[in-house]
Amino acid sequence: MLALTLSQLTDQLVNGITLGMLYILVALGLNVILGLMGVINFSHGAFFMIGAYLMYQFAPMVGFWPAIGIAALLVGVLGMVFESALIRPLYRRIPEYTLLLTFGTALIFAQLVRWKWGDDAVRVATPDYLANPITIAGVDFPVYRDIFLVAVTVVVLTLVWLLINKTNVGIIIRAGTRDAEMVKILGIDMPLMFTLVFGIGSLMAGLAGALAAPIYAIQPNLASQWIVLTFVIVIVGGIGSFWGAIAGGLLIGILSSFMSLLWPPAVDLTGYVLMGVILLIRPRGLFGVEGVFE
Amino acid sequence: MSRVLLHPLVWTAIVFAVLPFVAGANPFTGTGGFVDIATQMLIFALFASGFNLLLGHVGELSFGHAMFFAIGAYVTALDVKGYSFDLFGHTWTHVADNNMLVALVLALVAVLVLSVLLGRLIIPRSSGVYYSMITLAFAQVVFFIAFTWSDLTGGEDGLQSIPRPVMPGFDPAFFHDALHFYTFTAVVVFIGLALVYWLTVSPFGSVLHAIRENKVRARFLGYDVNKFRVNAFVLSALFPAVAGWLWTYFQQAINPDASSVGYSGNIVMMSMLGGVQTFFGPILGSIVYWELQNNISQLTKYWEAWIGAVFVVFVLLSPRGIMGVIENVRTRGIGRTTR
Amino acid sequence: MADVFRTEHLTRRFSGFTAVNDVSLAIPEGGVRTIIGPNGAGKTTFFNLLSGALPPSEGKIFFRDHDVTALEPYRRARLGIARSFQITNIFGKLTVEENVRLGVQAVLDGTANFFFPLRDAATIRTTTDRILEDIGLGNVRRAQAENLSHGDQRRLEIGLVLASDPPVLLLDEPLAGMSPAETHATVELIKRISPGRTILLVEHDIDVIMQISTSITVFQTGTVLASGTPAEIRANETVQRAYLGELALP
Repeated sequence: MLALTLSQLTDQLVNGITLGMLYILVALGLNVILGLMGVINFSHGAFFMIGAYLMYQFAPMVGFWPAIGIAALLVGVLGMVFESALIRPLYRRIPEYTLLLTFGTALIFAQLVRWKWGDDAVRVATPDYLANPITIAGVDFPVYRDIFLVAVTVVVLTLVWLLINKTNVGIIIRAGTRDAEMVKILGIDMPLMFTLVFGIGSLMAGLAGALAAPIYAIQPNLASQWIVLTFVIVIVGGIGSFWGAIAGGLLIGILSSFMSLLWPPAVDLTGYVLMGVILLIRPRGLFGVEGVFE
Repeated sequence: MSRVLLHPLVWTAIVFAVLPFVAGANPFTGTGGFVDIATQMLIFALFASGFNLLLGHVGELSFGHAMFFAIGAYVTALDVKGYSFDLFGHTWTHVADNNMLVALVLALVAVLVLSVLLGRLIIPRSSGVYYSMITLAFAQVVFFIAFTWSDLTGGEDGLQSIPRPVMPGFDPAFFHDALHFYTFTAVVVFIGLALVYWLTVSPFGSVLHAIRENKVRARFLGYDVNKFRVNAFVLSALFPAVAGWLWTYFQQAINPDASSVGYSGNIVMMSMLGGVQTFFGPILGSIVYWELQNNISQLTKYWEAWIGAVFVVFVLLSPRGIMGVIENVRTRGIGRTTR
Repeated sequence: MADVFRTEHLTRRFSGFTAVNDVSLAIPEGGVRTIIGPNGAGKTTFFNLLSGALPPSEGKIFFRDHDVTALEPYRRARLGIARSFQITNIFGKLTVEENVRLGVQAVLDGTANFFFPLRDAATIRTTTDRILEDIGLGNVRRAQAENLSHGDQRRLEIGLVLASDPPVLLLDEPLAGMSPAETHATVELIKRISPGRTILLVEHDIDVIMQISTSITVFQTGTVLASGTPAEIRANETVQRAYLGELALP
């Protein structure tokens, strides 16, 4: 253990950050919906998985870059249809019902994916020009993973932050969740806004899945693996919190990476241990505030 | 709110007597009466009923209850089969010993300790869907440990070749017969269900109902609500532990799936399908679930999607489950359920 | 005898707005004390502080010389402080009888017991019956609470605070939404139960206030404007100036 070199440490740090980027995207997608609408989507992991599969489906057909866009957009549209058909009827009930329904749909999605693409894992190849590393200051950075992923995530985060804080959308949604009647009187179509927000959150999950496709083995278990992981990140960072998703995602990404040097079998356990610690010392999460998206 | 004509436990006993002859009935081929399916239904009826103390009676949705089932099952397996592993520089061994009562006590103690610790950690700090998320996560920890600590748990494959229970005075192979084991299961499950029933009609039960209806008011009346929630959590964990004990003996094997998201979710589905606000609901839910699973899985390997779809329909249209539909038909004729 | 409540510099702020401002008040044991004041004067917040629904931003609360500032609501209830709510806060899906029984059970049960000693079972039954009679809901005891009329639900609300036989009752607008007949019956009930107890009341109906109060405390913008017997308050010029046009004192 003491034989760790600086290069190994930086490797893992970078590794952790880039891993964290994916975590952030998925967690933020969930938090956008959870924080603005108070709705919890158990099928969020399934949307991630579908994004990855769509990438697998389309990349050979239209090329790497367009496939990412198509996958993300399709999942966004799926989210909107899903919300208006199945989630909207449940708004008047307690949130547990949405959790239950989206659990049921997660089962359906997993089987649909099996039916269409089979049980075995599939892979997406990174295009050649992205596969080779760039060397900066003597350290190798795989271009796709470290540079491209980080760049895309930062762009998306900025866009989402702008959307929530600098446009009316965030204010309207938050107001609408608190006082639907009033907002309706002001002439705003709340159902449409809700559908849009749900679409944005789902798009982020699909995008994360598409981006993750070259890195992970794509198989039907992805949905349940990632939904639990997303929950843990959100618990650590704080429910509904913008910065919480970022903090949680990065923390877990980086800590897991380091854990792979220290005690590899426990890598997957890192997030849960962190969650346990957070529950003990700060139960609402690092940036969590009851019911407000910050 | 309508009362059943006979006491619910009498109903239950009658159903238990009839079940082995009709379980797994396939209306198309005319076959039926698979005892093993009936045994499975009963084990999960106990699991679901214990779980439902939390969902139906306190109003809290734990999405990780499979962990108690799994721990009950694994402790039983390890006690009966024996184990040997190294930890902290010491070799821990236990010789195989098929004493079902010892195994049961160990399973209950293990689950008791874990549920008290987890309950005290989680409950004062969370409620609602946040609580659901956290319980789900902890069940994953148990899954992960079962999956990874192969020296102890057998890893992904789990543990196999576990004998059936033996009772003094009986031939050791007695419980290898499906019907004999079913009877054993039925007796144990019936006792467990009677305990569940008694809890729900006791003063303790009515406090749980008060907490479900109006937590704030319960506090202002003088109830230590969190303490009741923790106690209910612990109690609701003990029944799945017994179900796990039965499950290991039934399957004669155990693997990490027992603590999976799938199993936790199945229990939730069973309870809701049957109807969480009634005693018989979770029992009915288990029977219906496994009946559906058995029939649909013969038609397609994507049966989980169909069950998921049935569940989604119930959530949308009949959240009080099948018992809710029955009540509605009884009280106002054929009509929609209201929320 | 110690004051039933004593507050020292009790303050409660809500992001920029001070609802209760440095209130140091001693409330003696016994009688019916009504707290009056315009909307936003801090009356309900004051009740919330006394009953433990809200923690204070500053200051202390003493219940019979016992510092309860940090005590959670359920502990205060077990000390004998019972509180009713302005918006009916009953157990909707349970029966009227179960509602009352839960109130009776609450202070008898120790901590989370499963059973109660057999002697308590009889006590619980008879107490429940008595309270159902007291609030006049004996004939609907098996009805689901949420199916009762509004007035009946308000009476059940009072039944819940009575159930634990508390020495102190905090009643937050108990007459809200009641018909004249129901108001009369409830006022009689309050008069009937007040001997041997301390009742703090928030109300707006002046006739009723004058009828049943042994003392009145006037709140305005988070502070106590005046305190005294109904006659004293009626004659108090500061109060008159503050409320001319708002509350027309007869």
